[in-house]
Amino acid sequence: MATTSPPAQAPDVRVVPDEQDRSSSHLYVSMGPQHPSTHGVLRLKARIDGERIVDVDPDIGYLHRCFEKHSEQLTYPQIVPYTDRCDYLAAINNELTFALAVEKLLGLEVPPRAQYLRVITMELQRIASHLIAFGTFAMDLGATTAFLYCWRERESIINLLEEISGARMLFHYVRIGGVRNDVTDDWLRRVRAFVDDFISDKLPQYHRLITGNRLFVRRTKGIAVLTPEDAIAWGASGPVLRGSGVARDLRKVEPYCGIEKYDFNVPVGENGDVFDRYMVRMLEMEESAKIIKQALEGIEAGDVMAPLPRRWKVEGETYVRTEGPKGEVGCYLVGDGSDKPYRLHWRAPSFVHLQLIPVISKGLLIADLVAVIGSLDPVFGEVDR
Amino acid sequence: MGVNPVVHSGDPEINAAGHPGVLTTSLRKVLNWSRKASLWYMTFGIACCAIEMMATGASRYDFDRFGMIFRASPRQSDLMIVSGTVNEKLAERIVNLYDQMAEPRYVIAMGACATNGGPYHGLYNVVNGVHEIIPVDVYVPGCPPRPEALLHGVLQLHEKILNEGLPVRA
Amino acid sequence: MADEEKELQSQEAPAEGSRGEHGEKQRPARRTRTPKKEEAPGPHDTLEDLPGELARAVERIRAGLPGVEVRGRRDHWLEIRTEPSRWVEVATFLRDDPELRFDYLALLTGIDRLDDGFEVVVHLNALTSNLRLILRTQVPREEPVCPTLTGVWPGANWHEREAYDLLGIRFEGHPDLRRILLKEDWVGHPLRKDYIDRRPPRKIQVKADWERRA
Repeated sequence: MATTSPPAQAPDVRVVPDEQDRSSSHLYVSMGPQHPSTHGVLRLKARIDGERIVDVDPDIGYLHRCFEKHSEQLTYPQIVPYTDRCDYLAAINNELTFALAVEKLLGLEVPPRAQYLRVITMELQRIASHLIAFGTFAMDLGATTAFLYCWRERESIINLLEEISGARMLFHYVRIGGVRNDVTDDWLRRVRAFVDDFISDKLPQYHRLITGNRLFVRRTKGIAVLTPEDAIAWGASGPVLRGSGVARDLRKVEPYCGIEKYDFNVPVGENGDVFDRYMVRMLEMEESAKIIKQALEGIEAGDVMAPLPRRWKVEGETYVRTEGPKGEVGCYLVGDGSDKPYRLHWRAPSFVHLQLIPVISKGLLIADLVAVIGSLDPVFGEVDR
Repeated sequence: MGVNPVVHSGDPEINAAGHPGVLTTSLRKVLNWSRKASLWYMTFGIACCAIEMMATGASRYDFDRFGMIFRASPRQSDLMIVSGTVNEKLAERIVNLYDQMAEPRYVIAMGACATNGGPYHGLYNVVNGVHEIIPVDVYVPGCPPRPEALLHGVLQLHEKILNEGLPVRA
Repeated sequence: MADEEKELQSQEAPAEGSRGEHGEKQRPARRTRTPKKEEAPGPHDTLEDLPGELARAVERIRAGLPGVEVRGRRDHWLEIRTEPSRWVEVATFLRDDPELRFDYLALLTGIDRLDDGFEVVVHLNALTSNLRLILRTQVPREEPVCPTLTGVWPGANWHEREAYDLLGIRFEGHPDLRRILLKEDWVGHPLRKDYIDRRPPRKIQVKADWERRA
């Protein structure tokens, strides 16, 4: 029996350079993969001098589930549920990216009602994802109450989405060619009620609870500043890029699902510190709510699914990207004319953002490292795929 | 460590040494009852199921009702909820964590991935079920399981703990 | 899918059955044909009359980089194909040219093209003008070495490590080319089309055995 199981005390084969240097006063701290504040299975190898961080080396791959190789063995409709499991906090946005990529290669037209439903669910999902980012971030900094409050609103969103998709978290609602189910007018009314309540009552509650809190501000303002030049050079996107003051939102730059018709702002930060990235997420929830309200007013009756081809012949290659809650979610798809992709590469924003940890956390206190991770909001399903 | 494995006799009221006894029977009941009423679980989220585990711990479903609170250290926890896909890189860490937990320790395999690899069964980097690296007490199916399902799994584990024998020294 | 796998196994697996030389299960490479490239019209096709800014960008690239293939696609992406020897030169030009300014690297990845070797694909973006460009090169299968782009866009770092890990493309001059997703001692590169999983099977662990072991 002992022959088949791996050794219980496996030696750590990864040696940090000059770890052997006994003369230096640096200490090596390994954080994770089992750590409550790493948002999953991230391992950080930090070299510290006293309380100050000298260098950090993020170690990922603890959740690598072979998504890209596996998708070469699956047909296109079969891949959709696996994209859910990439960024499992924002399943709808992932499905949407993949569906848009396949639709582009197939030349499918999506019916208008499905476009509206996609926008509504996508923005609901963005609010849900930002709520988790907010709650876990606050909890990492010691405010457990905010975590419990944000789950209250997330459950409401999940209930709404569960009603139309049947699943609580990995919805599989957006399909290639449209969406799975039509919704009732009553459902739309309840979405409206939720959004109104969220904007008028719940969001101000969060701001009262956390944003103005002096302890919170002291731990986030001026911490881990990311300059706009660095943000662009390292390929940051989403709230991380906008927190540094670069107003780039793919919904504005490369509109999809008819989002160019909607009126919404792109909130940006000023200093690029942890607080700004947090604030951008909070303000984005308001903008998402605005979009949902407009979609609820504009929604029209009709089909929710385009007729699909009987035989799937997907030819050519494309790179389609959407603005996910974490940043630029991209799907690079190469089809060879069969019903299975020849190559699929998933561009995960969290994967790119984790590169930034060594860049922005040099010289910080070790306790600030959790604030840095929380402000980048990584999800390990998509980091490791 | 130093304690022999739990001996399960057919009759729960027969103790491990083979004799029925008023004292051991009652002691067993008290010990098992107290164990099941304070299962501290380790905060070890892996994948999608971890979010549902967090939802179960949060206000709507509330693990606290069962005396379950999360501990960040494996040395203080009795229960490991394996909430996600285990791959080759993570496998040795999980074994490491399991070995650090104090006995008696329990494992719940939450979700299809931890049960047998689930949707990722048979892929190059995936361990086909966490039972290939550590022993599992309760399997909870689902992808991801609803919080109710996880609670049901915990209740099943309670039942299992209540029916355990007393550990005896060699 | 299971049926198809069986069928393929019977065609390609060695004569003694589905067991390899160490008794492990052999998985055949699923498909062994390269995709046909230029065929039926799609979003990736060349667009003859380009809109103004794209045409200007194409002119600019042709003037600055003589001998480099460049075209504009129907979905408004520019596309450049070059040899590995000019890889860094082309990238530096694209980043530094005052009219182009491709300052944002969206993704870098590789594709296994079987007999044609590995293709390295980079998607670039100019944030000010929102020009989009695909940069490609091909490296041979026997000697998959490509110069690194980390000196041009630091964000290429992890993308290149991932391509090295999963496809085995070595990026020359990369500051820290280690495996990133798989274990350090992993053998092979799984995204290659001819990759076979050679892990030995494991047994189910039983609690009593485990406690006795400890």
